[in-house]
Amino acid sequence: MDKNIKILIVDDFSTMRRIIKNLLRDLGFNNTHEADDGATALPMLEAGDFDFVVTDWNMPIMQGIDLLKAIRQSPKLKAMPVLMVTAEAKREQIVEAAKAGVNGYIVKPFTAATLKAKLDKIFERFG
Amino acid sequence: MVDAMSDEEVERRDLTVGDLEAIIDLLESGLQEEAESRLKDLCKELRDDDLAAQNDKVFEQVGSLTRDLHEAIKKFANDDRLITIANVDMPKASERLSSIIQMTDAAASKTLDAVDACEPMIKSLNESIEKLLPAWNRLMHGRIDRDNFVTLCRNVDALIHDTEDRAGKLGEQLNVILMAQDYQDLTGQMIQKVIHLVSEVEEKMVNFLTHFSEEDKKKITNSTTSGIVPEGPVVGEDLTSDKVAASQDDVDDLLASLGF
Repeated sequence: MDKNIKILIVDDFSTMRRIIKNLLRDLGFNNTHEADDGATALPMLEAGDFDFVVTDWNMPIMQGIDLLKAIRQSPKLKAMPVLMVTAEAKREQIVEAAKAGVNGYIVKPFTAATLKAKLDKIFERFG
Repeated sequence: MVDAMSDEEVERRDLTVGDLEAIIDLLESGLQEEAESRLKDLCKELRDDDLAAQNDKVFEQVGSLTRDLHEAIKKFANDDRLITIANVDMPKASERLSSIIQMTDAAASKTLDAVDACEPMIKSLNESIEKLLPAWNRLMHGRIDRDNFVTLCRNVDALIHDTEDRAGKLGEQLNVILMAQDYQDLTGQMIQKVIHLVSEVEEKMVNFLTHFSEEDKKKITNSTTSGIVPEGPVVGEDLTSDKVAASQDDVDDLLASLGF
């Protein structure tokens, strides 16, 4: 697995961004960037050469689910793996995210082991 | 109040016994309407015209205010949203606030436990180094014999392995401290929900008090464009609901059933 891939972490809470950033760093991923909601993230993704997105669901302005849909609709971004890390745990929400094409779904609070397992699974598929 | 005003400010015709007798006569004859009409006329005769008009206006305003108030109370009592707030959102807000206390408590305990676990490791590391230092200093100054040198090497070797082991354990504890901070995000989401509810109730109260009409009501806009409104962290009874995935395993099972 290429540890130099460029990752965008999208969450409106800076504490959670730092936690995910730290966990990714522990796993060897150092090329991480941050955005505080979907509306900030989308132009960054369109403009930059990101390889992977970790996003929250519940955010102001543009929700994570809408960011996911926008990514899937974008010709440039549609193949990008997206991992959702969120406190939203309703079955209908998980189904909605799955339908929208999410690549992994983690409910908060989560453990470092869970994050690693989901990343491994996603990269297994994307190489 | 009306009489007091009339007495002070206006010249008026005195009321006579005859006036009242005439009305009583009408009432006794069963002419209710005539009696009331006579009484009304009498009131007008007894007052200055302007004042009468003014009083009529006051009565009209009081009447209109009463109607508005009645409408507002009716609207308030029949407001579906308010019923939901009282029956669902308020209890949920209490649950959320209780969860916040529990989560902050748990996070603080986890952090303090991790600090407690680190302290003896650092202390014993310091002690090991202090124990080694005299022999180490002798070595650095070239004043060590062979036996002491061998002992020192063994001790340094032990310390190296010990340190490696402890560094791993300290790293684990730092990770525990890191992960404990997730409460800030989770409780933050809950607090935002409660703030939203408090603002909504406040707005409804203000609307009620100022008799705002339906058109003036400021609509609470939701930034959500998706059909599903985010709920934030699951609390209370919802945890056992069928609609909610209670754990990561539940999420994985659900996704697996969808072909993930």
